[in-house]
Amino acid sequence: MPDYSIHVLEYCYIGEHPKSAVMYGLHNQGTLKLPFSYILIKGKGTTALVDCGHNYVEQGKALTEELKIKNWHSPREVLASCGVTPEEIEHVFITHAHFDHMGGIALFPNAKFYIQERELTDWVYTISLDRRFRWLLGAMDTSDVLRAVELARNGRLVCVKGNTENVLPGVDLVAAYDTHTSGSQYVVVRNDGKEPSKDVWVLAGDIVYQFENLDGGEPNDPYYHPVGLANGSQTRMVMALHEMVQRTAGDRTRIIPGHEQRLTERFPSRLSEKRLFIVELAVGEGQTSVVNT
Amino acid sequence: MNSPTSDPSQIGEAASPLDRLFVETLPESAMSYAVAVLPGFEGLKYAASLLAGVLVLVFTGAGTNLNDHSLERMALAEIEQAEAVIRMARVTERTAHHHHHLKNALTAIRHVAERLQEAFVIGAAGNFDQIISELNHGWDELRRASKHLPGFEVIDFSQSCCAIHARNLRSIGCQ
Repeated sequence: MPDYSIHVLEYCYIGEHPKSAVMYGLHNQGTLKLPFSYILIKGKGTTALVDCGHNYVEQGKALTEELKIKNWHSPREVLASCGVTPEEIEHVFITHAHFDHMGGIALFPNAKFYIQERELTDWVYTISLDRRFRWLLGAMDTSDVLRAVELARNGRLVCVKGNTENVLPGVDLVAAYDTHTSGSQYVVVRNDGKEPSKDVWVLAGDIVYQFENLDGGEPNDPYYHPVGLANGSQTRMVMALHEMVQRTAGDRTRIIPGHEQRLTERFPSRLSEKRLFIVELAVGEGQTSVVNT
Repeated sequence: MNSPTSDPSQIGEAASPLDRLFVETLPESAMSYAVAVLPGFEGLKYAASLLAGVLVLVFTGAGTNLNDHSLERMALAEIEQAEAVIRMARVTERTAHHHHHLKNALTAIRHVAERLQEAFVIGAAGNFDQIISELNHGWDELRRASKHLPGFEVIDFSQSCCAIHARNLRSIGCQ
């Protein structure tokens, strides 16, 4: 049996998102649904999240309305589908500092948050630049830095430097600098606890938005196609995609994108009462399915 | 500085704070006040973000490259400029409430900057819980001020993500 249950939990979505924002350079090719999600990892006596969504207050509320984000629901409502409360979340691995991945930090009162030090220092550096550089702050909520102050003061914001193995048993954080953001990271779960593992999941954050970033929409002759929004280098993004594929020994289905509706077609899933998807990647030892109910 | 437009239909997510100010019709005296103090408001926002950033880096131990205290100095310089602007403003009945909150924000944020300067440069013992509380109070006062006049936004919608999304959606006919 796997060590951890792993579930992708949608918490809101954009109904019509330009395809060019998902696939770099593909302009005038219409729109697609862009779900927003976080990933629950539960097992071995602990409960963790990859990213924590955003809060529907202040700048998060304004961005939700501005971007026409629909059907936002709180972590309390979303996690209830898996029988978990926000208070039970002990660890949150922040893949990057964008509002939809980090803006919910205030909603998890007992969690410790892990972010790459470089993401944090470059965020502060970018804030220090004048208005002409404001593009670099895109998708960041500057008021998150105020919320981060209290976390940091209480020792609940942990800076990670580069790759960190076994941040939880069998869970690794992998740095992917200068890709989607300056200090992005992704999460690797070796769900058999072994190294090398035969049960690897790569939880990609926004280095992969959707499946096509991994195969270019040509699964029989795949190529890496970077996402449409990045502060870093497209070349580094492509190399990070390749590294992810190597980590799964070539199995692209083991790489979980950050904003992909079609996960529901690839893995067992169901809709919650709030009409949000729950995708089940794994059921851990001693746990039961939350989609086959 | 961008020249402001008075056509509300042209005001979008990428508008500058000054553009947004011109959306609402204000008495001329209030408009003069708003134009005069807007740079001070923006400066205080900037200073508060910088000070928060300094605190995050210090508390996480990520600020080892900040030993030159340049961020605190930048914040203090910004606060001094904001103070000069706010002190010179001609307050009217329409703008009195805004000014009240702006002055409160100035006092709180300046105090934070001074306490950090004492703690990091002079080496005085810092009461960081109080400093954090004052920083949050200063930000809250900016938020309150923002509700009393148009154009004073604590959120910058001209940042890339919002502006790009909005432009893209409009270009394909989504409103």
